[in-house]
Amino acid sequence: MNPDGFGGGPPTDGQPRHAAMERARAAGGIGHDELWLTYFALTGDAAPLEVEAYLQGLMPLPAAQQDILAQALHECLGDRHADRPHEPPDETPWP
Amino acid sequence: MTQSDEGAADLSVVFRGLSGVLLSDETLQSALRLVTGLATETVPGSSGAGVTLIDGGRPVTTAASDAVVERADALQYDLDEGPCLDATRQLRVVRVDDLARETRWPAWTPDARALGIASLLSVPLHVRGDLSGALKVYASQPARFGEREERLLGMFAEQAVVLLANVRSREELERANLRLRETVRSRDLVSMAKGVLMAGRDLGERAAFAALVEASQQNDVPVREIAQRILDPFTDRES
Repeated sequence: MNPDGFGGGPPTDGQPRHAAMERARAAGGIGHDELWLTYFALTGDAAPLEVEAYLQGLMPLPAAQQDILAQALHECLGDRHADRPHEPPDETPWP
Repeated sequence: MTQSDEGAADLSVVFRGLSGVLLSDETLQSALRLVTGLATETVPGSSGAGVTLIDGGRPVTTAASDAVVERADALQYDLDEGPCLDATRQLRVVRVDDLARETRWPAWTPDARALGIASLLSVPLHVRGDLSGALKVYASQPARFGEREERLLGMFAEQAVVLLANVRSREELERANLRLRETVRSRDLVSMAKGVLMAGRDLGERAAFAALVEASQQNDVPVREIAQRILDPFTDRES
C-alpha cells in the first residue's frame, strides 16, 4: 500500500485506484448511498462521508477497506450490468 | 460511542437519504388528522373534511373529521365510484353543487344523501410516484362551494402535499426495513465467514476477504453467497 493510503491495489492504467473507482461508480450510475450500503454489508467499516472523501481523493482509506469498497462497487455494477464478465474494477475502469 | 453505535447511526443517515424521512404510521395518521381539521377551518361552509391516500390504485390511508365523512368515503371504495375517486384518478377538481340533482355516481349518491351530505368539493393530491389521493370538504347545505372555495382548497392541498410527501406509507417503511435487515444480515454472514477462514487457514483479515472475493469471482456469485456456503456446514449444529 502506498504511504498515503490512496494506493493499495493493483495498478489501474496509471489511474490512482480511488479515481478509477470513482469513475466506474459515476459511469455506472451508482449512488453514494447505494455503494456505501453494499460496502457496509461486505463488512466495510468506514463512514459514508469517509468513503465519499476517499473516492474524491480527499482522504486516505486503509488498503483492506479499499478492497472491500472495490468489491462493493463490483457487485453494484454487476447488479446493473449482469451480462458483463466479472473483472476487478480497479483493472478495468468502466468506460 | 461504540463502533457498532456509529455503524447504526451511519445506517440511519443513509436510510433517510434513500427513502426520505421515515415516519411511523401513527405520525401519518396525525398528519392527516391535522390536514382534515385545518381544511374544515379553512373552507367556510364546510361541515366536514377528509383525506384519502391511494397507493398504486389501492386506498391505503384515510382520515376524516367526523363519522359522516368517514362513512361517505368508505362507501366510495366499497362501490368503487364517487367524487373523490374521480378527483384522485382523473387528477382534477370535482365539485358537486347539489347531490339531489347529481347523476354521475348513481350507486353512491343516494347513500351519501342519506348521510346528510348535500354539496361537496374534492381536489386531487398528487404526492409522488404512485401515491396520490384526494382532499375533500362536505356540506349539509347545497351550493356551499364555488370557484373561490375551489381555489382556497386547491391552495390548501398544495401545502398538504408538501407535508404528505415527507410521510411514507407502511409499505415503503417495510421495504426500507427489509433492506436494512438484509444489509445487516449480509454483514454478519461475511464477517463470520472471514472469521472461519482466518482461523481455519491462519489468514489475516484482509487476506480472508481476498479469499472470499477470489471465490466469488471464480464462481460468479456475490461474496455474500460464498460466505453462506462457507457457513453452511455450521448452521445445523446444535452446539
